[in-house]
Amino acid sequence: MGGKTMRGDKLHLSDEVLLLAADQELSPRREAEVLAHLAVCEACRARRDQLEQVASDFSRAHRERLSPELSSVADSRADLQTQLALLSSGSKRSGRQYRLANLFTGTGWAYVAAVFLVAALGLRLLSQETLQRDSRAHLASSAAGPLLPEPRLTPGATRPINTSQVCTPGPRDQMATIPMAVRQAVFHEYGMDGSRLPEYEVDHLITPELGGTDDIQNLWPEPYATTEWNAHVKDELEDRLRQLVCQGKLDLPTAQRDIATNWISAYQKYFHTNKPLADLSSLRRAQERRSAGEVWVQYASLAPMTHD
Amino acid sequence: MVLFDQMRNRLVRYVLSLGVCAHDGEDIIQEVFLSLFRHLQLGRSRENLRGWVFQVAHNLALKYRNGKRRQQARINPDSSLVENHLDPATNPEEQLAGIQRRRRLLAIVRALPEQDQWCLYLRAEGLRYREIARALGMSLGAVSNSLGRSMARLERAGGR
Repeated sequence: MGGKTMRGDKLHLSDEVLLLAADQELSPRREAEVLAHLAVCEACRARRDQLEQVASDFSRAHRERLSPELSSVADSRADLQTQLALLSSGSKRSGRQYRLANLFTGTGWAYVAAVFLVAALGLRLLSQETLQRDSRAHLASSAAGPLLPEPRLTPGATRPINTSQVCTPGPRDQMATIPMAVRQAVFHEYGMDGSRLPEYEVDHLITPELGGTDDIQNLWPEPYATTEWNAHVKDELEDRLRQLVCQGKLDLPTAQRDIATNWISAYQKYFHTNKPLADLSSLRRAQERRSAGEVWVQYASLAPMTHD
Repeated sequence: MVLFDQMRNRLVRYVLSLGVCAHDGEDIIQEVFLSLFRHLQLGRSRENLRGWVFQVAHNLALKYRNGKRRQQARINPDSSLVENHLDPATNPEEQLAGIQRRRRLLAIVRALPEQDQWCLYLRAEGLRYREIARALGMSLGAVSNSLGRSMARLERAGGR
């Protein structure tokens, strides 16, 4: 009785089916069944209307809350065009640092196509240069992406920094702006297809917070979610190491060396576990759930959803 | 650029709703579209492109947010739900009731598990279920489960 729910002695469409129908995600046959039911069931029509109303109200609330935060689309578009142009010239600086909004007026498709072509050529040249940096042969097995950085390519690189600098709160802009060209170069270095960039974080092996630099020797492609040892897990290790350093329980060079040598081993060592604590993030979610206890008590009684 | 104009504000709102600041949000959007250009340039699949774009934005936003978690306060949740959003076609009492109802909905959503919130925010930006599934790496069934549960919750507790 998939998609139906009992109420009294009558079968009704579940909320899920009503929502899927509204999104045209049902098979034609199922959709016909749903439409036939709606035609004769006032309760389900009313329920559908309620759900549509609440969805609409929530969407409006969401937009009202956030739309005032939006900056100009035109500036944003100009920034993007600037970045594309810079990419074509191989610049490694962030486009936002070069706001040249007035340079690009009249944004027709012809112009965009031209920028694109230049960018394409630039990337090709860049990739050829990078290919020469390393034979890559041994990296052919990286189809799923490396769990650990390749030591020859990413030995780690640090800048002079002392513990008090590590522990002084400050802006952390460095991690946020690894230019696209550099990230592409890291991908090529690892013999990986640039189209998979979204699945990876080009990450610092030694995090800037522990003195790591933006040098390519300190960067590697790290999978976000394809393995249990993913980028989010490494983020937790970085926070942990910094915490230990700032509490005086670990010296900075050791922290740098351990994370650079084998970050998974370091994680196991400093969290005293063989597996990622999945879930620190799950734990956080669980805490959120507990804080919303009343919500969950109600959820527990909600399956299957019923309505009149 | 047509796609950029269509999607930019939606993407910014989505990443803001994940808790990144406006400045980082703008950086993320730039990165997302550079990735998109590269993706298209390589002749990669255009199927479910909106889902793909939001997936990139989602991953980047979590990275930014987690990186700055300690220093950054989230934006004030309801600050903008004020009189300038009043609808002139309704009377003041109805307008006030509408604002209160929407505030209540937002508060309820913030109490939901994070993944359920993400589904709702993406839905509010007009994504279809399969696009949400792609963006969050969930199955279509899991998305519809999540949204069905959340909508029912909003409908019950947000009430009229």
